Amino acid sequence: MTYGQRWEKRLGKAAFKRLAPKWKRHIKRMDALPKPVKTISARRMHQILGT
Amino acid sequence: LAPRSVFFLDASALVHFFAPLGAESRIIHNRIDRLLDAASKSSGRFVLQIPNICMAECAGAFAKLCFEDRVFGADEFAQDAYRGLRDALLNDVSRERIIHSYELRRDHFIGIEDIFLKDYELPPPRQGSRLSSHDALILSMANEYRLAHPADSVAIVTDDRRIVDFCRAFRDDFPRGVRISTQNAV
Repeated sequence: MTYGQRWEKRLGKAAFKRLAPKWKRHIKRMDALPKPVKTISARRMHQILGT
Repeated sequence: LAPRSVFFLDASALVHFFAPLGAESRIIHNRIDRLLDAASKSSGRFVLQIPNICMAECAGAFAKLCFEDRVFGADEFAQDAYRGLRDALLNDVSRERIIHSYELRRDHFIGIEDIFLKDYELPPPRQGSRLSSHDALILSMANEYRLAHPADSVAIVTDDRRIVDFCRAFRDDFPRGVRISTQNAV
């Protein structure tokens, strides 16, 4: 399920259509983000973020 | 008007939102998504902020993911992925103001020594490390906001265990800390 589809499911079709343009653009951008070709361990992610 | 809820998101939370790369990442992504959902419905009563110093930290983390770990592929794929992630963050923060940038100012350095003094009053962390200077600045910025806007509820949303432990230990003097990998912010 895409990011946009999750928003639509959560809000309902009518409310999703009424979303302000800036939120629609945000959803479009999130759906266009690059897709990873490999996974990364939680440990490595913590290392990168220093957490 | 009801008081506003203000959430300061740091890089350790936001990087997972833009690059959900594992099971834990996806949990954090979904929890931040809930925050955005609440903000979209709140007519400005629910505000998301990012300390501007965290923008640089996000860019650094994106670079490591793209060019060191090559999670989006190599060469031009890595370049494109880095640009995509950077543009998504910049658009949400600088252009659309879905997340507001909170500027670091001179007065955020005032009293920063006290944050480190307080940190050393606490037992050493079981995992991870004590507060970094970056963490202390985030705490100082969120706390300055809390003191300047007393009617607002202010929270720091992070995946940094030490920031959350610090906020819990000094709950009367600092904003609420939310460890986003283990709890919902809303």
